[in-house]
Amino acid sequence: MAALLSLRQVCAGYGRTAVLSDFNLDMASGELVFLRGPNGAGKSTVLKLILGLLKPRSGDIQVLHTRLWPKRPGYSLALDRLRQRIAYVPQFHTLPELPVSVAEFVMLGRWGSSFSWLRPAGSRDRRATAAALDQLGIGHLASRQLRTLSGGQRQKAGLSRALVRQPELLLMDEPATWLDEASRIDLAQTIVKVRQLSALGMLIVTHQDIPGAGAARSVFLDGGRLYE
Amino acid sequence: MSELLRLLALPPVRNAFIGMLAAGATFSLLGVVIVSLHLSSIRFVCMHTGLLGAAIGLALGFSPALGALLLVLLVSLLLGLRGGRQAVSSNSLMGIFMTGSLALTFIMLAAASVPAMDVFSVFTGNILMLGRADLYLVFAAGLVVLAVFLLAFRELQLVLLDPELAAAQGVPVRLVNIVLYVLVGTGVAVALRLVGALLVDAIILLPAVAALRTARSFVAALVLSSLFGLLACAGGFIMALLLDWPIGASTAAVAVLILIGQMAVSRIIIRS
Repeated sequence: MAALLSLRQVCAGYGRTAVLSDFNLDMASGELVFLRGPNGAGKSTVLKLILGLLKPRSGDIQVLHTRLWPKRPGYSLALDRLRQRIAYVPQFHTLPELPVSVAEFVMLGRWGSSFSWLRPAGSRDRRATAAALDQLGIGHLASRQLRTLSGGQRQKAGLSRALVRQPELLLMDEPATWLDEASRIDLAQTIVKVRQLSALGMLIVTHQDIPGAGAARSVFLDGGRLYE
Repeated sequence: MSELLRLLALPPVRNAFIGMLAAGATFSLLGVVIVSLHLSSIRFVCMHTGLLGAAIGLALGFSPALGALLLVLLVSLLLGLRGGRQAVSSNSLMGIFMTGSLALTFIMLAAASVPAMDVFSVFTGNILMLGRADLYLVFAAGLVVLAVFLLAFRELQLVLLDPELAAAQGVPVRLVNIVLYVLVGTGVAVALRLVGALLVDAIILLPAVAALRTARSFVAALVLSSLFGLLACAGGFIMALLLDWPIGASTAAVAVLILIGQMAVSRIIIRS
């Protein structure tokens, strides 16, 4: 299988603090990878590198068959195009101050891929939103305010927002944190469902494996290095 | 009523009324930004640097209001450029600007013999001294605020909801932050001229707080914020004229009443 994602000898950090040193990770198309490790190991840093939110100090990064780093002419355009094919589900540890319905929150996932600056969202976006909500069984929550949802429901809304982009690569940051046992089982079943719906690759940063999520490869990050 | 109309026909009162309406309808939109991005302390930075700007203006022989506006714009631009960087947190930077501005203001009062009362007039504002140029400034600032919210509506919504997720989707979050910081600085600096530093919240923050508590969408929050701002300014101004009260204080009182009213109504709705 062709590599969906390839990070080779990557060094990265913040200021004078080195977080990743000589880091290597490969991921194949359609693969589900759990990236595990203790707090501060650099798991979220890996996601930031893939999303182009953090520049590495050295190394090679290839995402969806596009060379992202070392930087080449046309980097910004390549990154913009790449981001249209990636979806990201961050940790939902704070509730937004801004009022937003679940449907609108999910539809915002299409910004950059279907609508954007001076190109307003249209009926196609609304139809895609309704379909994404129904796919994960939360169509009945469409008009609810995002801040009134439970942790598990918010994760599903986040996943719907990711799926509405029709991504080739899905990145999730600690999706099981703050969830109770029942919601974790629900999340695992949702991940299985997402993989049945689409052959996208999934990289999930987590403290521990999510049992019941299907066939997955689990890798462990500690001290800036990766252990299979 | 006829007395009210007679007063409103006087050019300084008419200018002040129009200026307040324009500011109330547009600057209140910035309150939504302040609440969403937890930028409460930027208001205090603008107020403190406004004092220093006024002192510099007087020392160099130009208008204290212009000095305040220029320095507030510069500082909000610097804060916007630093926003989200790791090296010095925005809160630390705000602390530096606030204390540093006050220290420099008092040094200038002593060393450059700048009249203290003229400098501290920034704290009280004087809406009835609003000239034609000031009015144009209020309109220009208000139009820029409106234009940004209309043209970059979705981008603002994405950044205000979750800057990290917005950046992952390719929204130029840093640029949006810089624009928002500068707009907030502009709004506060112009509002200083209208109602004074102590009552800036009446125009900018309180209408937005009431709107965010009521609205169920970003559009509704913006429309309500603008309406509440307009109501506070119009109501406060007319009340001040009718009762011979200070305009800034009356505007603040109406803005507080709107917020209390919103809280009472939402309590009643929740109970029923």
